[in-house]
Amino acid sequence: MRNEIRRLREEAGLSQGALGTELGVSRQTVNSLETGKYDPSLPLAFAIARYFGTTIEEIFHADL
Amino acid sequence: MPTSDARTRRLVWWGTMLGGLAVLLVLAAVTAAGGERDTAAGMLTGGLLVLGLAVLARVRSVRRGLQAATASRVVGGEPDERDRLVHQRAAAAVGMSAFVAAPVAMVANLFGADAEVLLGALPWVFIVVGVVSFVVIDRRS
Repeated sequence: MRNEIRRLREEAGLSQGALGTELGVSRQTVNSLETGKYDPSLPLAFAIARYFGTTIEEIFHADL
Repeated sequence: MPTSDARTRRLVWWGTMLGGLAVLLVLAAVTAAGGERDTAAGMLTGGLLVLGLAVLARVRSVRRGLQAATASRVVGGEPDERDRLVHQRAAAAVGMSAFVAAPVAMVANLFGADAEVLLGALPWVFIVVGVVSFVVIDRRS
């Protein structure tokens, strides 16, 4: 699943570690999310969307 | 200030460690009482080493928090959702390897391999499978 997390994080001027701390996950988890290796749980996806003030659909794009 | 979730995790983790220590001491005492003093000493040494490493991982995961390594967070009882997934998949790999290792050991025994040696080797096979699969899954997910 593609996502916009890296772009949003960089626009917010945050490091992966800082975003991880905000979301309550590790830097490795943020890195895995950004590279598409790991798809988040629904609660984490909501937390990410809420943190960036947008919706899940705006951040995550299913590869169909 | 720790949250109630963090307090619960800490209590569960230390409870597990104390339970592990109690089981280890009872097993070593029973083994020693059965006349196998060297085995009991080895059991105590290995068990205490594992518990010591777990405490070290706990200290690292608490001090460094989300900056610690995946294995430290899992063993230290502070995993995030991806850490839990890596751990579950590695545990599943160990479970699947048991389905292969057990019949292989049985066939090897039928062909004359020593049953005691095979029994001793199986835990090591599972440890290797667990460690390797954990590292591979951690890198790929």
